[in-house]
Amino acid sequence: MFSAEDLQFAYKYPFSKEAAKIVKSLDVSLDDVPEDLFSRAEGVVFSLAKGNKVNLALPDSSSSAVRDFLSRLVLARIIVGSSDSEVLKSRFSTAISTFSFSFLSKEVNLLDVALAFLETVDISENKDYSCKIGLNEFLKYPLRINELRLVNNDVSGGFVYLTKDRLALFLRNLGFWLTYNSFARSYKGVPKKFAASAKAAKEFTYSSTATFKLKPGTKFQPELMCSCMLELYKKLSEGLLPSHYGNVAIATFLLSLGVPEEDVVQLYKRSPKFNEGTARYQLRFLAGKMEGSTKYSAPSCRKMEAWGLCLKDPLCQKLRHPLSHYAVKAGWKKPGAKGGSSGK
Amino acid sequence: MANEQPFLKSHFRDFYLKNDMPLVPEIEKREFGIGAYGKKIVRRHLAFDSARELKDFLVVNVPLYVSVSVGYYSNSHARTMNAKGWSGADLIFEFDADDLPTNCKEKHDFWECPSCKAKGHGLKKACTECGSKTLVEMWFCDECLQAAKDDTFKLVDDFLKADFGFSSKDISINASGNRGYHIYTRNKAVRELNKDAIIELSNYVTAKGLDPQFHRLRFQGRVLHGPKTSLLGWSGRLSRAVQSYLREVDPEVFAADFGFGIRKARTLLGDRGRLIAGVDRGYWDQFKLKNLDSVASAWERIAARAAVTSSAEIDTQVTVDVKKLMRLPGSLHGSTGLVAAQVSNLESFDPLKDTIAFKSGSVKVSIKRAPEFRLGDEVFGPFQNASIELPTAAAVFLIARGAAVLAE
Repeated sequence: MFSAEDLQFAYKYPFSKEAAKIVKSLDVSLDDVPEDLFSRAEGVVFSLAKGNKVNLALPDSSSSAVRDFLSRLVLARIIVGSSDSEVLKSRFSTAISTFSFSFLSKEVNLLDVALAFLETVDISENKDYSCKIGLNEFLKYPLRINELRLVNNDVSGGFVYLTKDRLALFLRNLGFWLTYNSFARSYKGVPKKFAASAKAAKEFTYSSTATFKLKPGTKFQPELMCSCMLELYKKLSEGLLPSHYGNVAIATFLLSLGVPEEDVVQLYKRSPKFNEGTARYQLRFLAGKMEGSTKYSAPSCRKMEAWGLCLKDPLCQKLRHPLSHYAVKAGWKKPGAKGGSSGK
Repeated sequence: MANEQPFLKSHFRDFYLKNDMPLVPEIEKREFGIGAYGKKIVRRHLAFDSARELKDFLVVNVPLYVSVSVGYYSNSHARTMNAKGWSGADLIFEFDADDLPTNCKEKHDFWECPSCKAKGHGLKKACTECGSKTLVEMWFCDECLQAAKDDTFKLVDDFLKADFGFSSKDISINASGNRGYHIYTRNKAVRELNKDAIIELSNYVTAKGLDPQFHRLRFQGRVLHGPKTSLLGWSGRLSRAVQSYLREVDPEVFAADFGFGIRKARTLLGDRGRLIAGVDRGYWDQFKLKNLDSVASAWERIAARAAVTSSAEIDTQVTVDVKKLMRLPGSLHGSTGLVAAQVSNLESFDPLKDTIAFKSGSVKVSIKRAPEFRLGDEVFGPFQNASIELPTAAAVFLIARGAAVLAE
């Protein structure tokens, strides 16, 4: 039996181990899911597919309401996981972590909550901070917002020192990744209605978030690139080879945008060190066309910065990806808009 | 280089015969690469199961450059990176004297424009006449190597030990055998770091992405507050750097930074102690100016400058590359003939003396051009179309750099 406190904790933090234990005890049979419960779970998934906000709050916090809530989330998670859509997985994880954050930001004993998730969290001996977390544990998952980046936090003696507000943000980030990583399992063999629902949700998500790609026959326009990519492109055009990371960045950018492999090879041909066989092998490797290779996506602005290739173009202020930059300049995307559409 | 390559090879072979390399931790899990004259990597995917096997290889093949992976692999003998099975890496940092802004480059570096043939002294990457990319001949001296050493101290003391909590036994320092230092951090926690984590650590050290607003630089009512000196990590560092600014700033610069008149700047700086004490407690703005936005942006600019001065200018591309091949500690550098020596005491380490491999004999060489340089306790040059007998270390140094050939 679970106490009311356990149920409350699981409701507020569905990515916790406590929530997992309760879900296990519910013994939900996927072959025998009540229609009403399934359609409510489907409702959550399709709201996410449409890019809408999902209201997860319960009208009451009775134990039956919490059990129903957790069952709904489990089913929704199975549909999302079966869809194999990264966008949908990310939206689901964001929805859950944002929902939890509404509680985290109000928790009186936030450190107690943190203790349920972290091994190295402790009270700070410095009264300017609320707690400290071991550096490795702090860096275990990617930090998704600037405020959480290590350089914007105070580190001392192998610990990251956080205020209460910053701890709440950190736990939100953790909630995102714990939810997201829960999809890392096989969804083969789920009942047909889950698979059908997942397929429909994936198609719906795809149609609302087409990637930024040149339509066949559309001409690639170098001047629409951000200044960082343009610099690399100019180097190649002048027959100079950029650094290793520069090469990876420009090649994956052009391939992701849909510039034909042949055109990219022609660009590299201007280098005196050009070797056609090697160039083609490397481009195919990056495009994931070689046996055993995975497709490399174009680097984000953050990665460009880490690779020392970011030129701090003032136009990029609200953009986080060189492909978005191209899309905005090409008029495929409005500045600040979330989704995208393909090249006209 | 008809005679010079066999000359270098024979000296390098002799060195590898007589000297054992320092032990490479978990050598069987590493990838090795070797280079030849003018190319640092010509062959990679090499693997050795023991130090003995490595030594035998070096003596037989005598590569001019030997590199070892920072990464650990479950199957280091595999021929493709995917099949090697990466299982973690050492955390590495590199300081190169080229990347550090020092005045000495005007004295010892040369540039030449392949397009318009203009040339001159200094580290100019674009031609001053036509703007084309130049060919640069880079040298190094005590001044720029000292700058690299200072940054190494800053990295080790301020960041690796004070902030990240590494102990001295986790850290090892190597001279690169050329223009700088390599700093390795190894322990169980480092091996567990993923690539995103390493990028975060690299950005932390270089202050890349640092936003002073996230370090408590913000208005409380109409008063601008900043971080106190008692805060930890970057917050405390910014606060102390701002105190240094107030201690040292000229009234003219201070006036320009905040848009004051020079008289007001002089009056305010007349009581520097009060301003500095205010920053100590987090009261950054004590100027009672009306335009709060301009004060805030002035402090943000100053804090950003302070972040740059307090950061360590590592080569970030080296740190974030978890599969990088680095110069094998203890091996010879093919561009200098100097040893990538392990540094046991950085303070007393002399990178132009403690890295000398060839300590006896002399060789007659013809030198095209070389600036004045020191090796050991002797200073050589400058040389221009000279034929001279030099101690072996200096001759190897110039030949390896392509600045000299063996005299007839």
